[in-house]
Amino acid sequence: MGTKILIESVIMALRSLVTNKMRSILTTLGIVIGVMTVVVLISVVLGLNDYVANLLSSMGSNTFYVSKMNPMITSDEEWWDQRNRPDLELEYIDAIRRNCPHVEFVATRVITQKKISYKGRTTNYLFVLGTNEEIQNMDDMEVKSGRFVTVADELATSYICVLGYETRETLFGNTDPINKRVKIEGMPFTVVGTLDKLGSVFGQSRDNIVCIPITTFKKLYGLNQFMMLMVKPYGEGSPEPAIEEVRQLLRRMRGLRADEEDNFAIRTQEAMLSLFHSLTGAIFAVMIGVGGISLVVGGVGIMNIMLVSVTERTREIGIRKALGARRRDILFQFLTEAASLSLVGGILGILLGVGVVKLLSVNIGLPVSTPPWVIILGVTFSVLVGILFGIYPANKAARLHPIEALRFE
Amino acid sequence: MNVSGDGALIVLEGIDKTYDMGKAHQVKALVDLTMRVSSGDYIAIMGPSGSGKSTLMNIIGCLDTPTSGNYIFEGREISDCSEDELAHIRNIKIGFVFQVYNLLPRSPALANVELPLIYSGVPRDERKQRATETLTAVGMGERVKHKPSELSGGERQRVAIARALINKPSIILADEPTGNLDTKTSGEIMAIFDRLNEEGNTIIVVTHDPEIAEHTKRLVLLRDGQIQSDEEIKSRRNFS
Repeated sequence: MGTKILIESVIMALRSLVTNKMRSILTTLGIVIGVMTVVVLISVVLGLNDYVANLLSSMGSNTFYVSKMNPMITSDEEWWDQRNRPDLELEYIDAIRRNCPHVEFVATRVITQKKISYKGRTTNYLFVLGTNEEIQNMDDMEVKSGRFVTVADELATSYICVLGYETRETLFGNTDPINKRVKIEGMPFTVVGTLDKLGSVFGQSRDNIVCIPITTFKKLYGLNQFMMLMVKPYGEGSPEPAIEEVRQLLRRMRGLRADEEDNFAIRTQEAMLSLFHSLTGAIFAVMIGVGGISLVVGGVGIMNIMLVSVTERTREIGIRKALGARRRDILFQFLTEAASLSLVGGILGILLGVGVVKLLSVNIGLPVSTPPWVIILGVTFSVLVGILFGIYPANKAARLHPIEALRFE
Repeated sequence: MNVSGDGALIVLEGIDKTYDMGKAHQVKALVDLTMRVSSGDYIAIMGPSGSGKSTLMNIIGCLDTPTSGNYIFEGREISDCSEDELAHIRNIKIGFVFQVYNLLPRSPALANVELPLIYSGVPRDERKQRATETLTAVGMGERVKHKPSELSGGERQRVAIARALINKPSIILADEPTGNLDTKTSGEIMAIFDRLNEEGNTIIVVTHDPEIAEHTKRLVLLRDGQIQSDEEIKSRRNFS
C-alpha cells in the first residue's frame, strides 16, 4: 500500500509541476546550479587527479626528480636562498650514469620558446625542448617517422631536430620532412624524425613542439633554472638507495662540506603526488562550500514555493481529508512533490554539468572524469534537499483541519 | 441510558458543540442534541441559517468531534477515535456531497471519483473499473475524461455523487446538494438520491428548500442548535 501511494504521489507531483512549468523551473534554479557546480568541479578534480597519476605512473612509480629549487617554497627568504643556488649542470647527467649503480637512466628536459621556419613558412613561438634519448622512457611521446634524439646526438651536439605533430603540419603540410633543413631562430637544423599526435592539456597543444639534443640547447640558449633531471632507479622497489647515491654524488661535485645543507632539491613521485593532492583537496573544500550554499539556497526556494502551493491548495487538502486522506497521506504527497521538484532540478543540474564538462574537455583540453557515482550523488543530494526543506510545508499541510480547509476560498 | 447494541446506524446522544471565539466568547452550535438514524433512512435536515445544520453534518460525517456527548456510529463510540481512525471512517463509511461540488479542478471526472479508493489502497486497474462503473450509474459514463470546468453544474454534482458512492458507504451526507442548481437539474439530482435510497442507501440531505425536503421520508427541523421537530413526511411527492 505504501508503494502504491508513493507512485500516486509521484504522478500527482509531476502533474502539478507540469502545470506550473515556469514557476517550477525558477524554483529549481538553485538546485540546478548547486548540482551543476558539484558535477563540474568533481569531474575536473577527478580528471586532474587521473591525469597526474597517469603521467607520474607512466614515468615509473619510483622515478625521482632533481631540480635547482624546491617546488614547495613557503617564505621569501627561502625563495631568495634557493634562487641563488647554482643551476644544474649537464655534466651531472653523465656523472650519474657513470657513478650511480642503482640508477637505470637519467632523462632531462629544459624548455624555451622560439620560432621555426622552412622555405618562407614561419611558425608562431612554440616550445623548443632540450632533451635526451631517455625521455622517451618517461613520456608518452611516440616517434611517428624517422627517429628520436639519441645519445650520439647528445655527445656530438648535433643540429638535428624532431618535429611535433602540429609543427610538422604547419611547416610541411603533407610532404615528408625527413632530412629537410629547418631554421630555429636562424640556425639550421636537420629534421630526423616526427612525433605522433599528443593532443592538448589545459588548452595548451602538446603537438606544437620541437625536440633538440640537450647539449645543442645549452650551446645555443644556455640552460636555465627550470632544468629538471628525471632519474629512474632499476626495478620497481624503493628509490631510496638511488636517491642517496645521486645526493652524495651531487654534494661531492658541488664541494659541499658535511655540515652544509643540500643546495639542490630531490623530490619523489610520492611527494609530488601529495603536493598535488593537497592542491586538489583545497579545490574540493571550496567546491563543498559553493555546492552546499547553492543547495541551501535552492532548498529555501523549494520551501518557499511549497508554502505557496500549500496555501493555494488548502481546499484540495480539505477535500482529500474529507475523502479519507490521513495526515501521513497529505504529508507524503507534499514531501513527494518537494522531492520531485528538487529531483527535476538535480537532473537538470547533472545534464548541464555533464554538458559543461564536455565543453571544458573538448574546447580547452581539460582532463575530466565523471564516474557514475557523481550522478548518483547529485540525484541523492537533490532529493534529500527537497525532502529536508519540504518537511515544514508538508507538515503544515498535513495538520490543516478538514473543515477549515474546506471553507477556504 | 444504554444506547449501544440496538441496531441503529447512528446514535447521537446529548451532543454539545461549542466554538471558542476567543476572549471568553463562546458560540453554542449544538445543545444537548439527541437523534438516531436507522439503516435505510432518507432524512432532510432543515432550519434557518445558524441553527447548527452544518455543524451537525460535520459531526455525523466525522469531520469534527462534539465538545461533549456520545456519538455512536455502527455501534462504535466516535469520540474515542484518533484522527487517523476518523479519516478511515470517512474514507469507507461516509460519502460526502457538497453544495460547491468540491471536485479537484485539474483532474478529470474519473480521477476525482477514484480519489477515495487511493486512500483505501485499491489497485489502479480496479480503481479505474469501479470509477467508470459508478460514473455510468449516475449517467456520466460518456464524460469520464472531462475536467470539472468542462462540465455543467448538474454534471459536476453527478460526478460528486459518484465519488460519494465509490466506496459503498454506510451513509451519504449531502449538504445543500442542489443549492447551486436550477429547478430542473435539482429535480434530476434528487431523482438520483431517491433511486439510491430505494436501493437501500441511507441518505441525509441538508436543505432549506421544502420541495427538496419533500423527496425524503423524514424531516428534522433544527433551531438554535436543538431539534425542534422530527417527523415522518406523509405527503411525499411522487417524482417517478
